[in-house]
Amino acid sequence: MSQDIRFFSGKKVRVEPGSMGIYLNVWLPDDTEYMDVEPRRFFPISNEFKYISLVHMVEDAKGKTQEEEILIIKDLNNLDEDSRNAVINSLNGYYMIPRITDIIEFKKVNDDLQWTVDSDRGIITFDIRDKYSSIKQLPDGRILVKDASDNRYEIPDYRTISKRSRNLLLGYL
Amino acid sequence: MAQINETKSIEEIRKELPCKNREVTKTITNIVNKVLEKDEKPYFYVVSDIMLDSRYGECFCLVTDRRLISYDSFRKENDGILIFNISDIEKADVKVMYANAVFKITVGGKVIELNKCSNAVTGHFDAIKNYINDKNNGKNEDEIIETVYEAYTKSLLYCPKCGARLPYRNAPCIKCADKKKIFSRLFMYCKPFIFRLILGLAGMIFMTVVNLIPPMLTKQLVDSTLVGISGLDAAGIDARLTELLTIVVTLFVLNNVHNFVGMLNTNNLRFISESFIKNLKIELYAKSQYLPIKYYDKTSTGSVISRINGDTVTLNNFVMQVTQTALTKLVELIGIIVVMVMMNPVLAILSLLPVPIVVASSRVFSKYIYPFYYRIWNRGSKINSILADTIPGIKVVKAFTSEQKSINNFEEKNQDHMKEVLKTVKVSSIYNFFNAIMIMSGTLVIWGLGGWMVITGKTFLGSEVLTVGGLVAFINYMNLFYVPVQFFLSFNEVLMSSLSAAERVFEVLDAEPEEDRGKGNIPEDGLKGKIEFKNVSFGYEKGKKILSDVSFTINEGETVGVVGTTGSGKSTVINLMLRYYDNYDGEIYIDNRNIKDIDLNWYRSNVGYVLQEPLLFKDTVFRNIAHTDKPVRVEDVIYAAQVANAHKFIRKLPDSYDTMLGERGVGLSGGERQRVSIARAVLKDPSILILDEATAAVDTETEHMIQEAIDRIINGRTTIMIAHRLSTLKKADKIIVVEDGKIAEVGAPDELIAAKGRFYKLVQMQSIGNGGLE
Repeated sequence: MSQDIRFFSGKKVRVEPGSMGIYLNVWLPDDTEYMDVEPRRFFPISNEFKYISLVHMVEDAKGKTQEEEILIIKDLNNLDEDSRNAVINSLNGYYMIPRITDIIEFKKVNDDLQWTVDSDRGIITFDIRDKYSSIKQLPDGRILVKDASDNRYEIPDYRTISKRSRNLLLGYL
Repeated sequence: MAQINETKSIEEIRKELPCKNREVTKTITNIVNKVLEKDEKPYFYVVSDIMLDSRYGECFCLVTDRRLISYDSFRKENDGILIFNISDIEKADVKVMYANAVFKITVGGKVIELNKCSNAVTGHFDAIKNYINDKNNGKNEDEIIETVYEAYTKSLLYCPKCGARLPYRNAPCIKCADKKKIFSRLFMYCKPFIFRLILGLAGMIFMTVVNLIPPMLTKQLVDSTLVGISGLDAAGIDARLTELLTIVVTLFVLNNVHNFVGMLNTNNLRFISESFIKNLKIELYAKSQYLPIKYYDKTSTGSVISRINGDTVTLNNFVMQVTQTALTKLVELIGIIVVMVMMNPVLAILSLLPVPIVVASSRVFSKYIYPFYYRIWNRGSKINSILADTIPGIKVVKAFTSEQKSINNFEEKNQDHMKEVLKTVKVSSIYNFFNAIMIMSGTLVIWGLGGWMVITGKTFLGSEVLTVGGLVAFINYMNLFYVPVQFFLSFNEVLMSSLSAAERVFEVLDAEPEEDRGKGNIPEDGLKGKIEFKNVSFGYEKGKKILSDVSFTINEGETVGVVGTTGSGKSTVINLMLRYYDNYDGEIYIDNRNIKDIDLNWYRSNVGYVLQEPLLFKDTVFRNIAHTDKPVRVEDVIYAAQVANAHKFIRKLPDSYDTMLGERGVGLSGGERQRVSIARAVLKDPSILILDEATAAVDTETEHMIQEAIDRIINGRTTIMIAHRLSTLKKADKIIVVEDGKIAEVGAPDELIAAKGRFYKLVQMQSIGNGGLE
């Protein structure tokens, strides 16, 4: 099979924050360096710390900006702590998936279901249009929510949220 | 049973002759006996339904080992009988018209119309037509008998044994089915829960007995506790109050015990029921996965799905009704009758008088109401059809601005549905009203006669003296009595529908799985990829060959293009390579081993198959690529996606490899779906890769991307490419041209072009449309 994609376990890869918060500077074991690259997740739902693709922007022949993949880090846990934190901070900047810690209110507004929740990113109110396809429970207890504007939210483990929140939620699972 | 699941030998078939499409009446038998020669053997009866004057009536045709006998009462000469030696018939033919057909033969240059028939019988006349023509063309008699026999079993609409109409062609006859066998087999599925079932049954009987006690206590209350109070002293009043309290507490306890046992029983029965249905569904589904493709050629996938989803529910209801409700209702019925007879035999007999009328009226009603329910179902299914057409096809609806038309249509069908429901409600309410009158008149007779007996203190026809409490209790029992009666009245309907559901379910469970005589034979040196067809002939149906005497060799690692016009047999070659069918003549060798002697699963796991219409599942992109039983490394999936030119677009999806696809890969474009399916094939790393029109349904740019992916993956493996666009076969080592089920040409593309044969012609034709081989 083709070996065009370069996989790195993460060991001996050094990462530092780059410009603008989401960019990273990366040094490979052979001292090759990449400035201002961005991380992308291959498995943002099922495995957010593994298989992280690092891309940078290049201009194609027509002058159009394209993402070009440089390498893939197999496991962020193999990075040293500073590098790992740098990647996670950058990922957190790119992927906006607030973790819901408490459900404050469920309200039916017209045909939509309006949620007001407390999250690791603060209190937010959003609308769910189709509860059957927008609320998904995963086998590990996580609940993924997609709002009417296609924003994502996550309840890391519905068993650990308050009983009141759980009761509010159970009717929609 | 009418159904034929297994392949029968010619000896077995000959034993079953004569074949009949439906019951042969006495009249027909008498006619046949009259004209049949001493050692003449009847082979095939076609009992027809339309006479030559286009009226319905008795007529038939019989093919024997030497003659053709036709009877039609409309025919005036020879008492309606015409007989011909088969060898004298120049040609037999069936002319299909609108909803009827005519069977005719040519003898001595003269065309004779023998019989007419409706569409229900056309298939059988077709079969005997083929028999006559093939026999006169010198074909082997055993082979043609086999063919006709198969045609008969396939197109049976009536049970040949009892003449009943079958629910669908070649369906098992419910009337002739061994019901005991079916039910005992069905109840085998309850075996794992036998303890729970006994417990449930005990609970139900207990509840039934508990249910019989309250009227007795009411009698005690009315006859003793609450009467004669005025003459009692304080001690007597206290005693009565104690008695009243005891009865009330007993009623309270009985009621709660009844409800508590009911609660436990419901949980228990629900467990059995859910387990039963789960086990049956899993077994059916597992079986459906291992059924050969030829099974699905004959049975629609929809009908298999409805057996897994619908029929199992029907069977579950039936099993639960029989094991629990029916038995307890029987106990209840007997218990109530015993108590009523013990209380007052004369009143008991009088109260049972309306029962025969209720039973008879219910029978009449259920027959009468059945079409009403069918019509409701029918109208409901029309509503569903509109939904199934217009919601998934919303793009077409909008493109043709037919939204309002769809709405009007939907409204109209809903209106129809409502009308039918209301009609049914009307009929049902009339029946219920009549039934209520019958039951009430029985109750009133008891009230009247019983009241008279209570007031006058007299007896009737030697019965005992009746008290007020006795009368109230008796009336209560009488009301209870009609509950099990109603249950058994409706039970026959449940029984019949369950029987047919059981037949359908067992038909799948009993179907022969794929034959794998080479199970466990895994070549140590793996699969190299040399494929050899030696004189292979095959047809999906007997007598209709798709491939004839096909021979070719594909060497290990070669890229071979299979070309030909539509219907030439290209896909059939692939079907045989994939071992979807094993019933062909000749031999197929893989690496010099007979394909049938190699472990089927192992062989298929080494063959990659990319179809024109990629089949993706409702799952994530990752799991769609990693669609295998074996554990796969994430890196390999990503590599495979990259090789298939899919990684780049997957990477750009917001959820990347975690992107959830809808049914059949909804969410991706046609080209993207194809590339995901190629990635799936790449991940398998097969020794043989089959690409069946992989680029046929995509635009030029996507075709280029797919072609690039294909070029990358064909290295180092045997690749067979079916392609209409000959430009995709530029890099083929060899081209096999299939024409009318035969190999027309084999050779390198350049050689074939130089030879200016079939392939050259195909290329020339496509060059006009710029799709040719440059």
